[in-house]
Amino acid sequence: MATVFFPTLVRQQTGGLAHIEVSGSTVGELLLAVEARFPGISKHLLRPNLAISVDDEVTPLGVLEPVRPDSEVHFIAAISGGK
Amino acid sequence: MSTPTYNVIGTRPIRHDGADKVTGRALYGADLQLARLVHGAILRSPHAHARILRIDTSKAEALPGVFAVVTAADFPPAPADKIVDFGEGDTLLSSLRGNILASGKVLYSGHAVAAVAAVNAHVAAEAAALIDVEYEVLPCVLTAPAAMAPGAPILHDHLPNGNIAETVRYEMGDLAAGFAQASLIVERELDTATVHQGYIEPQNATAFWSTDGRIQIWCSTQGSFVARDATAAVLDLPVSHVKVTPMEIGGGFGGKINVYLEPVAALLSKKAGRPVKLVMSRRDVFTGTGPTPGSRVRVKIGVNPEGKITAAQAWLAYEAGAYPGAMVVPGAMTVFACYDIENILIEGYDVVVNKPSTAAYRAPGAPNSALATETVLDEIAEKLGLDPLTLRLRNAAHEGTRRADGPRYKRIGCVEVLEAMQASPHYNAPLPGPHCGRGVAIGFWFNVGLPSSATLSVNADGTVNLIEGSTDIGGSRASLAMQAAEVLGLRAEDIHPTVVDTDSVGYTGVTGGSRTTFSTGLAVHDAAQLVIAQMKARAARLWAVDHVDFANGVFSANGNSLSFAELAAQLGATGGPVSCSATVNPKGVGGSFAGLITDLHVDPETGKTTVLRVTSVQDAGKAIHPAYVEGQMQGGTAQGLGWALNEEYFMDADGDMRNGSYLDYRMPTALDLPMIETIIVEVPNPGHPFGVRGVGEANIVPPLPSVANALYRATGKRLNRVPMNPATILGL
Repeated sequence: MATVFFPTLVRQQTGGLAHIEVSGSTVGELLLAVEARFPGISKHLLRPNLAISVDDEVTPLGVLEPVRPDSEVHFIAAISGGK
Repeated sequence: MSTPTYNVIGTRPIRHDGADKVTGRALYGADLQLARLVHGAILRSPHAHARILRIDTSKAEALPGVFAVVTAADFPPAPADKIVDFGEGDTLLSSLRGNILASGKVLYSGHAVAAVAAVNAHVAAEAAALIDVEYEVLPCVLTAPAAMAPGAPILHDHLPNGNIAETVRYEMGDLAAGFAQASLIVERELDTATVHQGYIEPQNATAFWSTDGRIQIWCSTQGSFVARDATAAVLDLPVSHVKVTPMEIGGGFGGKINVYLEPVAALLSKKAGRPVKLVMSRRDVFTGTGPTPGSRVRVKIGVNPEGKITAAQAWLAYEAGAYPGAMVVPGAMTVFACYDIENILIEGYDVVVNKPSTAAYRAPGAPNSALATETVLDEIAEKLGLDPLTLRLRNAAHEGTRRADGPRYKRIGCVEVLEAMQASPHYNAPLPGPHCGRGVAIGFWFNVGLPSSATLSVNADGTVNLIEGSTDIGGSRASLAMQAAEVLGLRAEDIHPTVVDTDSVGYTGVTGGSRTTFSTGLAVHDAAQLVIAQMKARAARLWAVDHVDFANGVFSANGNSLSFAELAAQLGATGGPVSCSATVNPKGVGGSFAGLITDLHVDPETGKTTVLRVTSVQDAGKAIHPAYVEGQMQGGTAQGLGWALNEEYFMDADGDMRNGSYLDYRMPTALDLPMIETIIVEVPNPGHPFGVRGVGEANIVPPLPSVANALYRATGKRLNRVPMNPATILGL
């Protein structure tokens, strides 16, 4: 199963749980499973200032990004930059 | 793994825009002339914090030669809580508009309140001075710690936690257990002052609001599409109603991503019925645009007797300026990003204060936090009796290291940068005499992807026109043209790059995030591959074959061969012109690490610091045009040295900037710095066909701590405040 990691400040929605293993073929499917476990958590994860990282790469596809059974999904700050 | 060989990449051709730039032919925004053009002026607040009780524009409107006066009341109505998203983060529309023209309150000295368009700039300025604004002056707060303290003046009623706009927190491992394993723990707290990017060209914008409802804008921007989208959002228009033409840009460094003048010039144009040009003065730039945050950062690091870091903790408070959005998040993400550490706790606070709303500045947020980490590590190395680079090598991040924010690194060059520093002639040379010190430091900055587009059109003479939308700040016309030339088997000079307006190329993200040579380079690469495929099809038609080979600029099949130029001459007879476009929104970005070795001398009587020798080391992945990579490294280093030693917003107790000119804001000049030596490290990024990593930003991260560490070696003092100017050094 894929592992979804929760940002530290979102862990108040998960009772302090840092990550969870869930099944799905896309990030969106994983999030449906996470939402079933922690109702309302998606709105804390799907925000414009958070990027989705799958297997250590920020994905422009977001919830449409395919995942593997051993994938890691993180929600990290979206970075732009200055030069 | 074998190293690829290239014909064009890695060479140093003359930049395509060089002749225009050195002969003064290149057109910047202030150069623009249009029929019936009129000129604007902005009225700015003299107070750092005040309630606007009344604005009377009648005297200004009555002045002969005045065409229009606008205030925030001229913005179209919109819900106060509307969110706008430009694909790189969300912003409250009220904050975006509020920073462009104040509504209700002014939040910093220099905050724009009203604008005038008139027959010339002098009449416009005279009219602006006739606008009567009645203020109720409020107490101001100027630093993050003061703004977080109980009883501080509150800037925004809608923030739920006083002046703290956002909190960030990263945790890994078991911090207490990590510190329990440590045999040595060092903790320090350091402050940095507000500094400006210091680009040469002030912000400017010319707008014409046509009677058909469409707006044309010519401006100095790092991202024409972001300027378009922001202007459309502020004016509540569809994006297709706004066309932005990016003029040449005289520097940006992150400070020319936000819009300040564009919507104002558009509103003035709508009222005046004429195109309106606004050009900032230098003081406007200092007080009315976004500097980078001042900050307070506390770092605590524990190590075992071998120098392995067992735990690291950071607390960061960054000044956002008047509206939320300090760079504390990337500061927190990068504070320990150079190191492989199991046990981490990072807490960061984005704090609004009565200063200009901050903007990005080259690796935004990272220099502030690296200053604390790298000086603490320097102290640890000294106490352990270790070479400071050896200590860093024992802890250096590598492929597979997990960052505090979660993801693990792909292939990176942190170790290679440290090894290059350690092996450099500079590091192994003796210091020249007494009162001299040598400091080292390293830093990290992400690269970002974001969309980019490019079109390549083959000319009958064998040259190729490249149409792209990335503002060329540091030589990207050349770095993009070279990638096209490499694929097409041509010379860099055979590619003719042009940066066009938002109606003439596909969406392209900002020139920022060290992304242009990477992302737009990928678009160019992909478009070039499409050109080759189409050219092969033409050759196949010409020779009546099924398969055509292409190598080194020559198409061949069954004993036939044609150079790119020879086949280009026959396109008309084989089906017509070839023009190919590509748009990318890529993954595969590779971060960049940089290091700096600084030698300096401190006059013990005056505290004056003389920088004797500096060597900048950076992982470029693959340097497309090494001279422009070196230029980025030298530019970032020069800016970082100025930030470390001299630059600072001097604010009086009322929040007024007292050094808002280049006479008084002390940036380094060529007379202040030695030749900046460079060492390019090349650890190819596997996510790019040529291995590119962005190089525009990481180089500004190490100068602050490198200077601080060198000053310690020269003076024996661990200073806790940047700039480390003579007064700080002498403890005055």
